[in-house]
Formats: sequence, C-alpha cells, structure tokens
Amino acid sequence: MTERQHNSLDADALASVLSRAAAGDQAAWRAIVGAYAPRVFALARSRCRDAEAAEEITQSVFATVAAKFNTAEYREQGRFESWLFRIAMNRLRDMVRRQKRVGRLVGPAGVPLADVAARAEARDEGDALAKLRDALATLSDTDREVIELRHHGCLSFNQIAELLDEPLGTLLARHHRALHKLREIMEGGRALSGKKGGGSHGA
Amino acid sequence: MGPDISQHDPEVAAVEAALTRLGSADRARADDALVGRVAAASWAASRAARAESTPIPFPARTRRLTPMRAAASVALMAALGAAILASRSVRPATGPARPLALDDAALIEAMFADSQDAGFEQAWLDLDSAESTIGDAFGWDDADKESM
Repeated sequence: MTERQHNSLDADALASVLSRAAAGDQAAWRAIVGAYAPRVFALARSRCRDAEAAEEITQSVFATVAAKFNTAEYREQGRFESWLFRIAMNRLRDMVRRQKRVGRLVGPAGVPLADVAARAEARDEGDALAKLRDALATLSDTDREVIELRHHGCLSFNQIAELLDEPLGTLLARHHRALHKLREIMEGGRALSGKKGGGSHGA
Repeated sequence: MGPDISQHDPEVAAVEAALTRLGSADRARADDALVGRVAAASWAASRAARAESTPIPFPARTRRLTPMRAAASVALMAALGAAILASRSVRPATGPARPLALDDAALIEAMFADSQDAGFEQAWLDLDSAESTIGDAFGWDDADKESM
C-alpha cells in the first residue's frame, strides 16, 4: 500500500516520538495521532457506520493512550500497535453492547439511521462499496472483527491473532471463510434486501 | 499488507480487493482536520487527567480536612492534654494533691488502677465537656458525641 494513511512509524521513529511526547512535546503526539488515527477511525467507522460516532470513539481511544503510554500500564516493546488496537477493539465492543442493549435509532422506513447516513455517504463511493458495507453488516461480530482489523486497521494476521488470542491458522481460516460469506451474500443480492442475517452467519 | 491464503483463491480475490478499497476509503476520510481534532482533544484530556492525579502538596491537603476529621483531631489533642493534666495533678481519693512521679509504672498505676482519683475524673469530665462543645459547633446529635 502506498497511501499515506497506512504509513505507520517504524520502531525507531515510534520510540522517538513516544519519548518526546512523554516529555510534553505536543508536536510529537500529533505525529503519533497522524500515523495511527486514520486506521482507528476507519475501523470505528466501518463498525458504527457513522462518521461522528467514529470520531468520538477515535478521540476516546487516543485520550486513553495519551493518559497511559508513559505509565506503568504500557512499556514500549515494539507492541504499540497491538496495544492501541486492543484499546480500540474494547471501545468498539462496548459500543456494540450498548447499541444492542438500548436498540438502534430507526428511521421511518425501518432502516437504522446510522445506515441511512452511511448509505448517503456511500452514494459517492459507488454501488459496489455500498453493497459491501451492507454485506459486512450481516456478518457475525467475530467474523466482522477479523475483516475490519485486517482491511480497515491494516493489521497483520500475526497482530490480529495476538489481539484476538487465537492461533494464526485458525484466524487465517476464519478470514477466508468470512470472505466466502461476503461473496455469497453479495452474489445472492441479500445485501440489498435490507434483511440482517447476522445470526445465521456465526463463526 | 502481506500475502495470505485468500489471494490464492480466485473466488474471493475480488471481494478482498473490494475490502481493501473500502478500508482505504474509510481511512481517507480521516483528513488532517480530523487528525488535528483528535490530537488536540486527546492531548488536553491526558493533561487534565495527569493534573487530577498529581499528589496535592501538604499545605493544600490540610485544607481538604473534613469537619469530622478536624473535630477528631481536636478531640485527640484535648484527650492528650487532659491526660497530661491528669498526670500532673493526680491525687489520692483521700489526702492532698501530690505531684506524680515521672516513673511510667507509677503514672499508669495512678491513671488506671485508681479510677476513683478525683484529678483523673475531673480531666475526663473536662474532655467530655470539650467534646460536647465541639459536637455542638458541628451540629452533632448525642449519638455522634457518644461515638467520639
């Protein structure tokens, strides 16, 4: 990938900016956020399908990181990304649990408002990506996590396996199965029907 | 991202390519303005959190004494003062006042073995009175005063 959003800092650069930020250098903190926030934001946006909510979650994740990265809770050992995305995943899981508990805001047509907003934005992306978003929403939470950590968070499979505490082989197989499910859903046109079949696609 | 088994499966290669485009589109939405907002907000939040967790210097900490703690401290000092007074004016139940020997054993004996000692009793009465005055100042009821 050549896009700037995926330009993570290498180990030396990361250690340097973390050290400077810990000493109170706000520009160094800005560099850390610039390197990682787009990936966290993309992960959150794909999950909640709402740009504002995704930004709030991203802010919350980085506020936690900023408060803890120079404390005993984190020691730089080349695992910053794993730590960052663990915080992000915990925050997203909390949000999903909250949404399930209180229900989702639904518009007049019975479509969740977040999906309405996402579809409005998706018109600019083209039908294919909009269908893919709908298809993603029908996957089980566990399958969706693997897909989004990989394609939105840009984590390696090794990092995802560590994050989700699963053997690498199991994770690769799950990712592969999730891709097949997405293909079946999209080819079957189920993504356009508006029906949510998350329960029938469990891992 | 490195190669994985999915890229060798032509059935899902197109889906994976579409997911890559989708992820890229979502990351692209995090523009410089958004990154700036996230950086500023998280920096400010961490500064505020650290300021709250900084230990309070001693002079400032004393201002956080609650009325109950202040009263307890006063009562403790009053008790100590009363004990000192008692130790200096302990007298036998009968007979004139006598200075207490500075011997620990004698002091203990005078204060606790002879509870009928008038000087000792008076010291405790003074302490009760002090507690009552403190309690009235803080609006305590009798139960509160008893608990002291």
